[in-house]
Amino acid sequence: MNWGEWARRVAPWWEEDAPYGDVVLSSRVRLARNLHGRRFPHRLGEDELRRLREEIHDASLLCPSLQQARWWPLEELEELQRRFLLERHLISHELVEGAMGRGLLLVRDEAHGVMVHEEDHLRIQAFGAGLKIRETYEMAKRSSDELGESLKFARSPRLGWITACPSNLGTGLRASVLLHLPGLMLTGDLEKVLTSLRVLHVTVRGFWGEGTPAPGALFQVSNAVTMGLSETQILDDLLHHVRKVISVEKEARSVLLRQQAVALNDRVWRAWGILTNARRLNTREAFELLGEVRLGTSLDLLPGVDETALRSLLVITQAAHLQLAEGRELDARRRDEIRARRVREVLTGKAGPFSTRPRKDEE
Amino acid sequence: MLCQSCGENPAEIHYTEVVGGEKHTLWLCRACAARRGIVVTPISAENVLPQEKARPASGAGLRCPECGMDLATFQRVGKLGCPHCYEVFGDELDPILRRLHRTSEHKPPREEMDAQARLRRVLRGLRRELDDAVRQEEFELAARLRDEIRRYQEEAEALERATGEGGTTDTGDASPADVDAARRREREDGAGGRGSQEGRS
Repeated sequence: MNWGEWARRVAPWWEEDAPYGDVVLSSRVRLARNLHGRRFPHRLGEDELRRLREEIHDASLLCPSLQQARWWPLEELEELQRRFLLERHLISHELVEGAMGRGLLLVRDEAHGVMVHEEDHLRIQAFGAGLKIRETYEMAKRSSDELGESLKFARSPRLGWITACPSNLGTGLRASVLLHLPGLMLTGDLEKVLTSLRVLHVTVRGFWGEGTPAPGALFQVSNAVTMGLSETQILDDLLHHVRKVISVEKEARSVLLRQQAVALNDRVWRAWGILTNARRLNTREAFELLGEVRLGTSLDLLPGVDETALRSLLVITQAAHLQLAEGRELDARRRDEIRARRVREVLTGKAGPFSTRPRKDEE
Repeated sequence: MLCQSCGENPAEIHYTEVVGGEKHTLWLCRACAARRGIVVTPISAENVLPQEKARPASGAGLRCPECGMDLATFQRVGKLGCPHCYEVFGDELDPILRRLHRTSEHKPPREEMDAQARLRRVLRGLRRELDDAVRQEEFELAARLRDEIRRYQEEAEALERATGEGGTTDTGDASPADVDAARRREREDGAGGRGSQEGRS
């Protein structure tokens, strides 16, 4: 599959059955591992980075769970391609900027892979649609175990898995879920809920990171503590807290529907009106409106709108996605035009088959 | 230049926002910036330079023999240099670890001892949620919760069986003859199997 086609589609896992999909967009787990007796990536020169990268890639070839994974030395990609990978949450911002000696392994269904030489030598990651923390963990764990057969990972009896940053020690496990919380945002209870999560050692960030107001009411929620607890405890605690948030979000939505039905309908239908008619949409506006329409579909206010299409638009209307799909760099104004066209096509069903799964002949 | 938001006051703040990989820049006046929740901290040496005061005097001269990392560099970049650094800077890191993780050691409670309590807690929570879901007539959610409860229940039963079986072998001295007989059968089966294979070859 070439990059243009790739950018027109979401990852196959993104379209799978999504438990609690009306509130939880996706789950992600990553395990940080480092090579025994080696300096961490930020203290390595280019030659050493490349050499260890090869070592890790070679080890991956022996892992059943990483069979036929695609492999990219990141400096060989164009910046636009790296930004596309960033938009898919496959690599971090740091690897877009400093790609030299870094790498990415990604299995065919895009559900899991390994980031090489981010902050740690290996960041084994796995993804799932909806609330699938345990399943995604199992996937990442399997790759970690298999890689550990041929690579010697740094581990200490006192501190557990060793990581470059002390905040990841112990299990090296970070599980996060992407939550859509428009109900709490509208009732004004959001801040209260997020604060109580933080007290419970759960990290909350806007979808686009620290400090930015969260467009589309999307929040990334993850475990803050990685040491002193077992993997199972960390995952179960997070699940427990996330379930609480899901139930208060649903409560908020039903309160809104009971008490402000007209206002809510107005809001949702206006968002729909703009999305299906606008000739220019910037990323932020598209996100916010898609979020409102999603709220509408979850409450059955907008009959016949395909929830999967909405979720997919959140991904494929991002800047690098659009540019790769068009096959060239575009200025912001042109991107906004193409984004609006794409949204219109998909939502009004004129996009042709909106299948994001690779066809048989492309496998 | 005038503020791009109100168009009245002189712009003093150059505000850059990155949304979804797209950069938006705005020139704003102080009032409009404040309205957008942008807090402007005056730039001064105190704000820009790393805080030296908090550094403990004890480990100031420490250096990792493996990678050359020193404490000041760690405090600046927030990352260690290599796995061995954790041995070298152990004492200095302890308070940081306690702040981050509420502990300075990775000693998770043993799974087996903890599993029963954990499952009981999870099941309690799920049952409460199921009650709520049924009350609110959210049947799709209720069905999903029911499936999950079943899955956890099976896990709890399997665990109970495992520990239950452990109990019977402990009290197995009541019938040592059975155990002996079983062992004998095992041996005979094994020998018989081998024997027949040999016979065939």
